[in-house]
Amino acid sequence: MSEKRERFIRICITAATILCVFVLWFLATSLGWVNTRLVPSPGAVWNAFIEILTGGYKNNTLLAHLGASLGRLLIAFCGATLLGVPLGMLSGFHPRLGAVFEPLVEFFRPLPPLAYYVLLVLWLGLGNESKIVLLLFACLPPIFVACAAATKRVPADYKNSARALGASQRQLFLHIVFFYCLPDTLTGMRTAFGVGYTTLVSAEMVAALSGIGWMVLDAQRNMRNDVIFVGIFIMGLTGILIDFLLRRVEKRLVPWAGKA
Amino acid sequence: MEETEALLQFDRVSVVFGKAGGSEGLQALTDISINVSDGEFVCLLGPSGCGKSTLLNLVAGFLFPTEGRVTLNGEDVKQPGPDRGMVFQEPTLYNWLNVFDNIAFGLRMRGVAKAEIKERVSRFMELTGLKGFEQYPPYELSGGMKQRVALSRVLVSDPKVLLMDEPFSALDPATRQEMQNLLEALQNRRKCTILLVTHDINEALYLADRILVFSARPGHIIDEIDLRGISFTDRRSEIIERPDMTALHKRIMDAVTQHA
Ligand SMILES: Nc1ncnc2c1ncn2[C@@H]1O[C@H](COP(=O)(O)OP(=O)(O)OP(=O)(O)O)[C@@H](O)[C@H]1O
Ligand SMILES: [Mg+2]
Repeated sequence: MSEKRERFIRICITAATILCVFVLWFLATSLGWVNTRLVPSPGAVWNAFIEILTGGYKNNTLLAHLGASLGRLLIAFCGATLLGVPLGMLSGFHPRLGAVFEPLVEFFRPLPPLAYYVLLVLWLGLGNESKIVLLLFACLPPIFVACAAATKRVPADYKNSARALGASQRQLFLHIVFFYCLPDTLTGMRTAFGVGYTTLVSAEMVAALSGIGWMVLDAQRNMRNDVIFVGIFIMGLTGILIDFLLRRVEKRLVPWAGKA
Repeated sequence: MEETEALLQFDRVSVVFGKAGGSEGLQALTDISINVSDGEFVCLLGPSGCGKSTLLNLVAGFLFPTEGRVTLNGEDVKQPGPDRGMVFQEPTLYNWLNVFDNIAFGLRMRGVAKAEIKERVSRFMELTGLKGFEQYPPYELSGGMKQRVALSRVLVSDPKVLLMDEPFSALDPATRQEMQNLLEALQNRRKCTILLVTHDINEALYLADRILVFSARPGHIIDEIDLRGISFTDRRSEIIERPDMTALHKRIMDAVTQHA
């Protein structure tokens, strides 16, 4: 009962915070505290949103922009998962395999994507491929690292219990290690989606004509600050929504996470 | 004479951990010789860190002696196998499988026929009082129930040797006694050879045919108590009062504390 009440109170606090930010924003722009050419008013942003929603932005509807971005991200994310989960888990399971892949991933992980994006464009062309590969490189390390670390953390007793029951190394990996690491793997995937999301704008910097990131960049070039705000709001909100959905999936798939 | 009877033999076994090149390493067990006959129930007592778990690991085949030999039926232990079941202090249940599938795990891994798996698992669930919990996920069970599953998971493979590493120490006294009764009932029904590590002297006095008391690290046997003359059924109630039992309790206590 009191826990419910506490939750309700926290939700109210969050709502009040958001409201405060909007009120401050409104006051700052309407009372002239800031230059509205630099900081558009909430009304202007709303108008820009309606304008883009009904008329689209530069030959594409808003949904098409969003779809283009999410499509690229989704392909990259799936590719990163298909590569990162097996490679990460095998690297954690077989230290010698880890000796091959871990240094490579460790090298790649801290690189800012823009540092090598031009190379990708040169090698893969101006089309979608270079953008997808860029996002894939962004998504891969968090998944790989989470899987490798989780695999190494499987308690010896767990592995021994399965071996004593007659499981082969292969069965041990597929039936015990894989599932034991699933909660951490999904957390890693969620992190990866976040990293991929933050890389979207970079990925749409070169030779794109669609995408929510491109929209923001194009608005920058045209000094359409209201459109930048719209783009930022949309990215922020869809980011929260996707994270929420991924959490739901996580709960469904690994209900045992965090339980002994 | 005992040589021919022994099912499980330790012949001057020593274990040193982390002995690399010229370094000293950590001596866990030193010069252990034990003969365990078929169907015998041996309890291992000793201070923390004296190498009790290490000794069980040797029998399980998770670990190998630095010096000496561990033989089962006259053959060196080379790898883990379902003829030696291990129950750990933590139940190490597979949370992604329900109770039935947990118990069936070993049989499945070894490719036992479906119908036989169903028959054997059901039989053991009945014996261990788990009937009706087939579909439960392990993380929803109480500590005592979890250990029942862990015990069934091992016994369903019909092991020759049952290794138990402080299996009841995390349970409350009532549940612990329940589990001790269950173990005793199972043992009366079908003898398997049991090595049980415990910190509870009364538990050892109640359950064991023989108690081995270990010194602090490097562990070696400092006392051996044969209880085979005393009948099982009436022992628990007498343990506290009987003068010879009180004397034994004191003897073990003194041995453990003196060498700790
Ligand atoms: N894999 C290992 N590598 C290095 N040292 C180890 C390893 N396993 C155990 N040891 C050490 O060997 C000694 C004996 O460990 P062991 O776990 O067998 O003790 P124990 O008698 O079971 O203790 P406890 O009652 O606390 O469970 C300890 O000092 C421990 O730190
Ligand atoms: Mg131990």
